[in-house]
Amino acid sequence: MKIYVLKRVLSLVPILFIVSIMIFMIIHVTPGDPATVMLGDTATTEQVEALRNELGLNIPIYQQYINWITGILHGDLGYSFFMRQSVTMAIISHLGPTVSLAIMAQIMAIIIGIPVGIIAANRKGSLTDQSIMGLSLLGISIPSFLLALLLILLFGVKLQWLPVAGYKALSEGMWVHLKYLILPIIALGSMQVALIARMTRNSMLEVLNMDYIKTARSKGIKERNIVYKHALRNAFLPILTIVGQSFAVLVAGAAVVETVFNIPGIGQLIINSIERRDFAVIQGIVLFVALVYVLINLVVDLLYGVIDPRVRLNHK
Amino acid sequence: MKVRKIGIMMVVLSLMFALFGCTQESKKTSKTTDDGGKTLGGELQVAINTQPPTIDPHMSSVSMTSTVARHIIEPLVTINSKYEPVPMLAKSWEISQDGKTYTFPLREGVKFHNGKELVAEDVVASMRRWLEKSTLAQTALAGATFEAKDKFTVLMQVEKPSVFAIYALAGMYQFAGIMPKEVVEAATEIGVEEYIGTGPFKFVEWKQDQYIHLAKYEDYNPVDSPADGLGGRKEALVDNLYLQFVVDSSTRLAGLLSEEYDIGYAYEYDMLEQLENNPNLNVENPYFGPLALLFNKNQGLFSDVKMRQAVNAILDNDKIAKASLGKKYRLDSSYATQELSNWYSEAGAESYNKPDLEKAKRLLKEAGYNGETIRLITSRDYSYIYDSATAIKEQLSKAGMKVELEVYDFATVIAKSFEPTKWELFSVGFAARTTPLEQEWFNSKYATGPLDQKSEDLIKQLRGSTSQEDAKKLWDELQAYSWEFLPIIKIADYSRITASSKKVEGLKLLDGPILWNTTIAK
Repeated sequence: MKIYVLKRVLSLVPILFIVSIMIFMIIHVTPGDPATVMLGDTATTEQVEALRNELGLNIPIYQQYINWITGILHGDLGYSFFMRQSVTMAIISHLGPTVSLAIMAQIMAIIIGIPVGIIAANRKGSLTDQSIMGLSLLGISIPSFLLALLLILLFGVKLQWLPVAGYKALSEGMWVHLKYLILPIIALGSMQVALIARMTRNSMLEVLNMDYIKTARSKGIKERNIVYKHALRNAFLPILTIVGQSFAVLVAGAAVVETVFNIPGIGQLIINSIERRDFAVIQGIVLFVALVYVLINLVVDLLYGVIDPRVRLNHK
Repeated sequence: MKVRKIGIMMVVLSLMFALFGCTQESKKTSKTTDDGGKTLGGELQVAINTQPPTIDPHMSSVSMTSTVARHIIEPLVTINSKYEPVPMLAKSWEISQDGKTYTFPLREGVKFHNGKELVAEDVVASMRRWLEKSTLAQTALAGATFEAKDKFTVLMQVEKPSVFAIYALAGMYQFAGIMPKEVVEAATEIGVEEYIGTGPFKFVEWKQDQYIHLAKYEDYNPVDSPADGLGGRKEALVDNLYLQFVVDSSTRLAGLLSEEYDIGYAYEYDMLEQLENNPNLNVENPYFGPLALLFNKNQGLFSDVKMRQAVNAILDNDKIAKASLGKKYRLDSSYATQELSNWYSEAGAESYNKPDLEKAKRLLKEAGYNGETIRLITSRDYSYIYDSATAIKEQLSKAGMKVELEVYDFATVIAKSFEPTKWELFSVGFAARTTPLEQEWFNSKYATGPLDQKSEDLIKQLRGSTSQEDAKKLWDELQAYSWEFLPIIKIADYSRITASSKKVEGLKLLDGPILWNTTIAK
């Protein structure tokens, strides 16, 4: 098991290396120059050149890459001249809202998605099942920005129950924090609720038809025990995969939701950085997100082992 | 058992997020309210459409930089609502007989936000830095020098007398803001380290990608004349001012409707009706500047004046403006908007907005146009830019030109426009400048490329004129000629739609909101 974990961790290195080269190339091939964005399009050539020198953009591209990678190996992701802070600090200061948002959306997805999926599986073909599946189809189909705008219109503008935009940190109180996040969480999480509900239903149906469940039933075990003790655990692997994947999707989806709700998270940071061609920040975030993505996949793989001993055995 | 483990993990995850949440410190400001009616104090929440790249006024010609910075930092001379120069930190100005020496006596008793008194040395240091950085200064004030005559008097020497010198000092973009000498001297290539000025608001905090927080400057020393434009008596009437960066215009709208924001800036043109029909809102949309079609004159098809004239004979400006600006536009041939009373001119109007397909076809033939592809670069980041481009494309295509729309993000479009091989046409809006000569396309280093000899000669003469009357005459001539030569085609005047809650009083606009002398009732 230890060797397995070590192997997996080591395999991260080439992945991140390839990601770093790709992102560096894409950014530097894209037209647009941070100096011009900062100085405005009527800046003098001398002023632009002076700033480009200051930003280290006048040295050969491979040298820029080597400098960047060397910095990373020393734990330095670079410096943002627009934000006047290190990229690491920029990412940390924007991480809170995104993490809050992604985790709460995930919690919502799990708390609602799994029970609803189980209920639907239990009452397969009933009106309940059909309406749950109908709703979940709607949940998967509706784009998050549209849902976000509809939510804003109803709860923010018409009813004025919840704020339409902005973000307050948890340090200002749990309710204040939540108040600003409720609509974004719903907008971001509903697709995951739907996905998890559908996956749970399918997975449960498959397991509930297996022989050992029939045996359990014939032994007269209570239906609730069958469903929750015997079936759910075996149905959980595919659900876990979806949960893991959806976490990455949530981080990506946060970019849209954060823009609509004006939440200063990682998603908004990367969009703003692209607009202002803040190369260091774009590179830093993409690398960071790639790392998170790979780590989440690793954790999911390891959790398979926790839930299903057979997975553990296979890797010995 | 294992399911319980997952439960534990969930708890750990929740704790993690709680920790992340805690690291996000941010101040809670309570809305202090005063006696009823016209209240003083409180806070004003203003939603602006973009975060400025910097608020160092010398650094950047981006308009949001000036819009924010002018609340904190003041120049010697500024402009009133007619774009005429008026004194600000200078008491007045005096020009010597030969027109080469400007004397600026400073207002005494003006203090910077750090408590230091404003003296001539600060002005000299600031102006020297500004001369180095500003394109406008380098053209209008080439070779100018500043020195302190005594503690409260500054002298400016110019090489050639020109009526444009004072306009350059009063320019609204990349403006000649006065900061303390130490701040200016400590500045690096990326700007000053602290934002300290003499303005009615002082800088408190810049929360990246969220807001800029300004607070009332208690020791502010106002000018003793009525407020007008950026000049006259200024007073911070609210204690706190938050400039919130809200990029998405529908979010700015929803935030205004739900009273999250008191003022919202730069709404989409198709939101105008909804804003105007709302009984709780005041809507302001003063004209902002010209929407124009740019030609790449560096090389290729449009270096030929006949091609440009053909396009001018095709375009139906009314239709383009309607498609891109909704109902808020003004058809006007003057490069300077009507608000610039010193420069407004009808010269050349006979060539403006006169679609004539026969003439266009003749001109195209004379120019030898043979169906070559014309690249019209544009961006969806600003919907009016994209909408104007599609309307222009449609009209040109109907007249037999082969136009391809190339759509990029805004930063890319700007970068492309400075590469002569990458484009032919580009439609974009410009802000009004204090003089029309300051418009970008009269600068041959700008994306549009070189002018012809006649234009350059007229510009040279114009720059050398020493009286407003002479300058106006020459300007009429230059504008009339420009409608033949067509460095650009002006489509129409456009506006920026600003809306505010009915609780807000005293709000004025001059390219963006002016937030001094503005109150909010609670």
